[in-house]
Amino acid sequence: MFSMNLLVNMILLAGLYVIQASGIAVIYGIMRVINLAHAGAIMLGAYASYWLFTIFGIDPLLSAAPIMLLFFFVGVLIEKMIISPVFRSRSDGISASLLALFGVWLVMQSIAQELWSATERTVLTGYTFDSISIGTVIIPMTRLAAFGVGFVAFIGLIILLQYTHLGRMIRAVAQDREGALLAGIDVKLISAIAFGIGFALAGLAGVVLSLLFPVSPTVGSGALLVRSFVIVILGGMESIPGVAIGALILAALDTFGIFLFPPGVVGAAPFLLLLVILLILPNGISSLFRRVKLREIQRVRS
Amino acid sequence: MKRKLLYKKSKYGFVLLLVIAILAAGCAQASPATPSVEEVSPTDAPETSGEEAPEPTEAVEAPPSSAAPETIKIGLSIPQTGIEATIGQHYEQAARLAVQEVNDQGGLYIEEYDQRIPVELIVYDDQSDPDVSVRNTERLVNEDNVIAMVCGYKTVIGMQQSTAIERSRVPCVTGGWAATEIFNRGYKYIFSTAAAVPSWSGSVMSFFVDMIDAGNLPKPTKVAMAVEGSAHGEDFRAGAQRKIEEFPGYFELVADETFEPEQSDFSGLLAKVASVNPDVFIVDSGFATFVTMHRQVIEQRLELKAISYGARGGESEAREALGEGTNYLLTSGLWSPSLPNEASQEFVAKWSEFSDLDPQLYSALGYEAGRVLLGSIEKAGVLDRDAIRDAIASWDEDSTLVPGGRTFFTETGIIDNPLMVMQNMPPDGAPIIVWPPSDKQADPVIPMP
Repeated sequence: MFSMNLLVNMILLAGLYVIQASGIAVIYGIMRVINLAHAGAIMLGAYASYWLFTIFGIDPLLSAAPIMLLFFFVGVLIEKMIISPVFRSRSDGISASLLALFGVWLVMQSIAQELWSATERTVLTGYTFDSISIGTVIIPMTRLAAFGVGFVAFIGLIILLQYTHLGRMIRAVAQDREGALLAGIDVKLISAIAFGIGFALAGLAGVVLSLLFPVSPTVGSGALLVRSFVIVILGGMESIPGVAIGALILAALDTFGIFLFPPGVVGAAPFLLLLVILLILPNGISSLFRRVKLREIQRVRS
Repeated sequence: MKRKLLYKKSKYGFVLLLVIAILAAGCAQASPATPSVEEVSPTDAPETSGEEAPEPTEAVEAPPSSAAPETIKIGLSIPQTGIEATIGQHYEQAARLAVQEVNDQGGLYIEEYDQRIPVELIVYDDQSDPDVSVRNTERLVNEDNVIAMVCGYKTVIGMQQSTAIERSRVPCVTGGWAATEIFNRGYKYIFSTAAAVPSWSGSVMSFFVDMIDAGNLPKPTKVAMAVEGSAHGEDFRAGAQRKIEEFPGYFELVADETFEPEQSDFSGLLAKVASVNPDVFIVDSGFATFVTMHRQVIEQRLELKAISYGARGGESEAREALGEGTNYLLTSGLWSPSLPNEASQEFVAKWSEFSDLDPQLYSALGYEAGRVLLGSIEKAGVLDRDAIRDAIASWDEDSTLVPGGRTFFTETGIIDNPLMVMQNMPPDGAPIIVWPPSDKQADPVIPMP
């Protein structure tokens, strides 16, 4: 049951989940906005990848960076044109932004439906069906590529947030919006940048999904979207390392669940786990780390 | 202060009035267009879990027969968007082709009026959502006053939509529903030109029996099975199990798994299947899930002597999505463009002229459903739903495009015709009939390379 093959598959799957979920976590962490247009951005990212591959023959691994850049600016534009005005004009900005972003998602779906119809499109690269064998372990190339892209993006995000001036400003806004404003940080600009980063990550997730699944107006939504939200809640809404842990847990359940639970329970297992985690750790798994850290500080002080 | 309170009160009053107005408008919209259908409303839509047929509302009559209507209205609610849209477009175009054919001849001859009346097809998108399909049905019946319907596609949608249709007593023929749970509820107004799902897996298992007898597969053959968690999947499982029991010693069921309809990762399931080293792997899934799963089957290099995804795998869309990966897949043949009978070849020619889509089983069975429905209206000779329903129930026609060549309906409303088994043959992956021996166009390649 717990073969090395399965373990590797689980890690690759977790990589995919991280890319999908981190965009939601970044936007929520800084703006306290749940990006309901996330699935739409993923879908358009997948179509952008499909287009670049079909028309210009550009491999999705190469088109990932320009698509991310494009989606960054699209995200900034949406924040400036929709989210920011909604927050300015309404006291219930958060719920209004939810509705606005849901509307954006619907518009995105309609655009995709109009441009590409409902037919599933596929990106068939030279390595689509290839696998690497290492002993008994079989690693599909597309999954490995997806994991690699996700890993690089994840490390890049951590470096950006932890070790750059922009990252420090983003974290300051995330921790205390008013405090950051008093310290002279342009909170509006940082919010727009954060939204752009979230959208860029969604675009990247779309590129990766185009390598693995047929592209259609529903790609990135349904079960995958639900899993993204489960991961973000599991990890603790605004924590990027928490997202990685949540993704690993969910990937483990999805991979090994079939051996552990009866058929009817396998699909529900992630949500049962979510329920249990929320009961024990209402702020997600990352709150556990914060508690440990706090105790360590108290211990040092005492 | 008082003024402020008054202002607040008046503001709330205004909001309340607005809400009431919206609700009233909503009710008005939900209200039927004619008094005869007044008792059918969206809120009356019954639950789908019930085993018994719902008590129908008052008989819904057609408009009075004094003057012939300008058009005969036919309804269709189909996935134009959402996860089932790829297949849905085949059914939509199939219905349009059937209607166009009739209209090219001036419409349907209705004896009651002694004249030909053009057919108007009203199409709504159900967004691959069962709830929307129910609302569409109510709208078609209550507002558009359709006389009959071509029903939709996909079991989960059919489970709910069929109840709404039955309740409205609108005769309906589909080529897209095949789960027995839809047809075993005693409904009288639902008919299908697609053979019941148990026969899909049953035909593939019967083919395996012949392959075992011919020495192409070992005896017993180790079978791994995976089905989506739905009525459709359960039917598929039941059909396979029936054959396993029918042929003792021929099969050993080594894995029997269920997966989510929209599942995206199958590494665990495939690892479990690989661990029991099966000879054959049979799967029941929707089209999108089939593409995702088969891609992972190839990537994981499962060593199998034969693999079948039921009716999936022979589509040109499958070839486009999986390339050479579709070679040697076995499909239970509800229909194939390579079917040599005259009606099928005639349909292929008509379809190629009419549509950009390749002719598929969905388009053929959808067209047959539309053709039977329109033919039944003409046969009834009156624009009366019950008379049309009776005409469909008694429909029995030879030399049609379905395998076996006979279109008729059993008491439950579903066609009961023999199926074929096809295999996608290289180099172009075209599905070729390999079973039964009497109809086969090529020898099967079992075990597959």
